This record gives sequence, structure tokens and C-alpha cells, in this order.
Amino acid sequence: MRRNARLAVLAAVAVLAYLASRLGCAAAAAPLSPPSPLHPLGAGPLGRDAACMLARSAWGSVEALLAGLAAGGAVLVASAAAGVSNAAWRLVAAVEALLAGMPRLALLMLLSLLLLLEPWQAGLLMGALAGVQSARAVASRARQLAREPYVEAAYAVGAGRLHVLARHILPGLGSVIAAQASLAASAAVYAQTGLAMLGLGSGAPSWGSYLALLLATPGALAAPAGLLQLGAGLGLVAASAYLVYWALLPADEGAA
Amino acid sequence: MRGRRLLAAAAEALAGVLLVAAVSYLAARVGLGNPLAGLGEAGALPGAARRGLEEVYGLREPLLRGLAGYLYSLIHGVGGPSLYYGGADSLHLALMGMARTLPVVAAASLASAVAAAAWVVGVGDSVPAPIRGLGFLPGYFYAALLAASSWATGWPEPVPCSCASKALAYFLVVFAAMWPRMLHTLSSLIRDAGGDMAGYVLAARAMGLGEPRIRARLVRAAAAPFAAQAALLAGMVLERSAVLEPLLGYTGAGSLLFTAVANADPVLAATVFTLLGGAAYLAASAGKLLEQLLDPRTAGGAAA
Repeated sequence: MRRNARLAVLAAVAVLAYLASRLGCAAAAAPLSPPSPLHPLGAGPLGRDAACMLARSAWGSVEALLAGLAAGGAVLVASAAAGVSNAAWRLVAAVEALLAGMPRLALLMLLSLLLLLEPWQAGLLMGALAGVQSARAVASRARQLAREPYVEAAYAVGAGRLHVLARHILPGLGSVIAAQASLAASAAVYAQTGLAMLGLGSGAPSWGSYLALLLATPGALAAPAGLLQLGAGLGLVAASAYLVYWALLPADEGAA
Repeated sequence: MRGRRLLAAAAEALAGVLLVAAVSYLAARVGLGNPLAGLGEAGALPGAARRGLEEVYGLREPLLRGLAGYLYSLIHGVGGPSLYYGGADSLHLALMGMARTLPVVAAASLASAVAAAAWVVGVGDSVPAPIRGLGFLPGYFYAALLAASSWATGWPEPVPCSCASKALAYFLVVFAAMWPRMLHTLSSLIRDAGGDMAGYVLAARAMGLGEPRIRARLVRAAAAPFAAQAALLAGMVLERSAVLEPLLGYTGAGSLLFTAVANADPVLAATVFTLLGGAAYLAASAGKLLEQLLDPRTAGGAAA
């Protein structure tokens, strides 16, 4: 499938997740009653249809995913831009050396002490920190590209740095930035889910907060429906992370 | 050249530890603002504990002087009184937590590195796609499944403790999360070094050496950079204990951080964060230093 079509699938999933967040899930049966044709994942800990609850919670996780993608992508594009200038490249290298080892998940947890982090805020912070980890590599690659003869030729005919960046550097780094940004997005959704599973954050509906409800309900994980819902929730989180990676794959790999 | 590199790695580690300490100090100071305002001599916080907090965190000092005082207190073994644990020194509590967490994480990291090396020697340096995919899953997936097993089968017991069964469960979770990443890292290192070692591999095959023995030599050649990467991964797992341990109910440093955050104890949270983050930075730097010392290609200053 072409990359544009894959990106369209990603956008459609995001829109569906947003629309699903408006769903009202009516009471289905007794809490944690087993799956049935009408309720394929059974009832949740509060007696509502679990499939509906997971669909309704999707937007919080997708929000974290998209925020992580945007923040990671922005950091990487800025790093690529920094690669064109020597001083900026050194700055990126220093920032990466200092921040790449920052304990990200523990930092989010510490910040939860001060703020009720919304899913998009957790995703934004996590995505930016994950992007920093690859910043030096991207800036160094941009630096190499900036020394290519065709880029020097562009400078020689009067092209400015912005033009060179937009026409030569960023297109040359597109697949690297896309791959690293997709990793930042997956780091964001995993971190937000991990925090929400522990009951930290704003409490906005997300797959993590649904899993937290399951984990906090005594006996929920001893019931088959609870186990099924735990597996479905974790599977959805992993699938969403993979979806972004798949959507951003370079065109030739995606066609395979 | 070698001395300069060692100094640079040490300076990087020191800068990282200072950054973590500064972040935790700021978080605690901001976090302390509101609770302290309502905690007078007759409030929930004992007067001695409140005075201890003011002393350690320099709450009446300007920010930079307060931070310097906080670092001085930490170096002298005082972390400030924990609000949740009745005024017990937070550094003492955090060190006890670290003493439970570090051995498990270190043992699991070592085991996963050895298992990765054994796989490469015995099976080959290509990583099957499903195993590579597992490397992207966070450790808490396994922790959540074990939490479920805890309810369904009674193992590990569904009670928070630092007992042997929980330690074993934690070890398994860290091992399951780290092993695919270690394997991927080692196989990438061996493939990257393939050009340098091509002559050796050709000669060894011509002499009739078996493939496992040749791969064992390649693993040995990649040992130093692999140790550096493994230390970095171990540091990352160490900080992820903040999510893994509460899910498993293992009462180490990660659980302590969660308890501190969940019960609004900024002093304890800041101290545990400083130790966990500092240990993660130190592990990464130790790995780099080890590589500088052990790998003749970088030790001589030849490699970029």
C-alpha cells in the first residue's frame, strides 16, 4: 500500500477513535459476565459492555500517540535543521548527551505529583524526550548531507539555508525522521498507558485507565472476561503503536 | 587521548546526575509549596520534621542556594523527612528500596546478555521477526500478565512484598523485556563488525572451524561495545521499575516512587527519583567507560 494510503488509514483510525469517545455504553449485564455474541468481550468491572468501553477509551491513547508523534517529529526536524550549522550541531550534541539518559517514565511519574497530566501532555513530553535520543544521529546525518556536492552547488547559486533545508536536507532525511518519530509515538503511548494503569494522570478515559480499573477491581483478573479484556487492552495499545510505525514506513517497505 | 575520553565520560555522568538532582529538587520544592503552607507546628507534620524539611530543602533560601544545600545534604546522607512514612529519612528509605531493586535488575540484565550471546553462538546472528517485535513491547505488558496470573493461580502471591517469589517474578519480567533487545543489539553489532572480521571468518572457515566457534569469536570481539549497550539498557530498565514494581507488587525503589507520588510525598519522590535517575546515568556512563577501557579499537583513540 502506498504511504499516502497508509497515512489516510492512520487518520481514519484517529477520527474513528475520536467519534467513539462520544459513545455512551449502556449497562450490559452483571459485572465481568462472560463474553456473548452481543458482548464479545463480556462485561467490564462496572457491568458495561467491555468492547464499547475500550472503544470509548481509545481517544485518550490515540491522543497520546499523536502528541508523541508530533513532539518527536518536531524535535527531529529541529535537529535536522541544526545540522546545517556547526554551532547548532554542537548544541544538539550537548543536549542529547545530557538528556538522552534522563529517566523518562520516572520523570513522568514525578511530574504526576505536581500536575494531573492529560494523555496528550504525557505523550508530548515523552515524545519530545524520545526524539532527543535520536537528535544527534539525525543532526549528524543532516551535516553529512549539507556537505554533498549538490547542496554546495545550491549554496553557490545563491540558495539560502532555509531553501536548502526544505529542498535538500529534510527530503533526504524523511525516512529516518519518520522511523524515529514513530518510535517516539510508541514510547509516548506506552508511557501514558503505563502511568494510567497505575491510576496516575488526569483520569481521562484511555486504554490505560480502563486497565487500571481492571487491575484495581478485586477478582477481576480471576474471571475469564477480565483476562480477555486485559489481553484486548494490551493488544490494542501494541497495535496502535505498530499502526503508526506501519503508516510511516518508507514507500518501498510498505509495498512489501 | 584515552584520559580525555575517560574524563569526558565521567563529566557526562556527573552532569546527568546533577540534572536529575536539580529536576527532583525543583519538583519537590514546587510540590512542597502547598502541603507545607498548611502544616504548621500543630498540623499533621511534626515540628521537627517541618524544620528538617526547611533545612534540607532550603525552603527559605534562593533557588540556587537551596539546590546547593540539597546536594550537600544528600552527599552527607540526609534526604529530608518523608511525609508519608512518619518523618523517616527519605534517603534511608530510598537506599533500602534500591538495595531490593538493583540486585534483581542487575541479575536479569546479566542473564539476558548471556542468553543473547548464547543464542548468537548457538543459533546465529539473525533475529527472527517475532523476537525482534517482542523487543518493542514494554516490560509492563509482562508485569500485567503476571499480575493476572497472581489472581488466577496464586503465583506470585497477590500481596506486596520483596519476597523470593516476587523477586523471581520481577526477574522474569525484566529478562523477558530485555532479552529480545539484547539479542537485537548484539546481532546488529556483529553484523556491523562483519566488514572488519570478514578476513578472519574466511580464514577460520578455510581452517575448518565450526560456525558456532566462529560466532563465539565474533561475540568476543563485540563484547566491549555490547557491554556498553547492555549497561545503557539496564539503566533504562532500572528507571522503568517505577511502573513494573507497583504492578507486580514488588516493594523496591520503583514501588517506593509510586507510593510517594500516590500519597503526595514530594520529599520521598524526589529522593527516589534522584537515586533511580542517577543510577541510570551512572550505568550508562559505566558502560561507556568499560568500552573505552576494554576495546582496543577505541582505547587507542583510533576509532571516531
